[in-house]
Amino acid sequence: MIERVHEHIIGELGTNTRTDTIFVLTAILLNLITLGINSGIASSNNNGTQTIVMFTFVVLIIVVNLVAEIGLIRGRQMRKKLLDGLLKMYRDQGVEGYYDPTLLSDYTTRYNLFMLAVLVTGLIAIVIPFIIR
Amino acid sequence: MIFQHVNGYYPFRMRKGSKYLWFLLVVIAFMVLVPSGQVTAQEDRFELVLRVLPGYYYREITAGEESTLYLAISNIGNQAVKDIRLISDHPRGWHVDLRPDSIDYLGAGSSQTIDVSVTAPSGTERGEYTLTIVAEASQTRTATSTVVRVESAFSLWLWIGVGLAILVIAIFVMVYLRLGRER
Repeated sequence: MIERVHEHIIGELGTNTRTDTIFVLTAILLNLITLGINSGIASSNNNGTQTIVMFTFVVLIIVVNLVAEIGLIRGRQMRKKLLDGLLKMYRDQGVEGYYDPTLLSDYTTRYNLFMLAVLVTGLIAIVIPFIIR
Repeated sequence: MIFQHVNGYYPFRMRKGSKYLWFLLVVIAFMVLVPSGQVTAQEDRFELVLRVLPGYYYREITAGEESTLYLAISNIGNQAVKDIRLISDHPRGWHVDLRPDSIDYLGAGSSQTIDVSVTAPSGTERGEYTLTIVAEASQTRTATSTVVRVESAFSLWLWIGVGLAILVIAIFVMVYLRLGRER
């Protein structure tokens, strides 16, 4: 039974990694695409419709980045829970010496850096078109 | 020697040859004289050229501040042009001052520089604007255009962008602090 639980935890960790990767890539890609679109709008002739379109994309950036941030925070927490369970299992089996608990803090740092990358590209996508305009 | 006669008569061959010679001389004289006659009969040509001096095209100016552009007016005709008036066609509310705004006499082949002081009103939106300068005299007329790029001294859009960025950072920090706690 313990092996099944172990497989389940490993499977969950894999799913968690994929989900987090999708969050990060989607957010960064969308930020860059929106940066291009809004820069194009900002450098063309200014009118009311274009301003509305620009602000709509800004709202989209904010929402997507917020979703990505919440997703990454939840992903980090989920990963920690799964790894805590895994570590406890190893401890019960007397093989905890093969797993370094400091890996948990490394994951935290990595998630924070992912969030920072998403935030910075989001900020650039928001600010640059307004500078051009 | 050619026209020398033998016993008071021109030999037949010589007389025929001299006719051809005269004809040739007439043709040559015609060819020489006709072009010079054309020069003397050339029409009076009044032609002005107005151009923006290099480096002053697509000039960036700041709204509310005076900037100067330089143009050159040249008379490329063969006659002097008198009483040239210089007029500017500019966006509404702009102040464009031409110095000089009229030229009494511009000789053939001569040029003159014109200073154009441009002031866009303070509230002018950032963008590209066309400025046209027209030079007209009673005999001829010419015009040139230049693009002026206006940069606002105070950009409202920039501050909106900065404000949004601060808002996004605040939301991120708030969400991070609320949800980011390890549970």
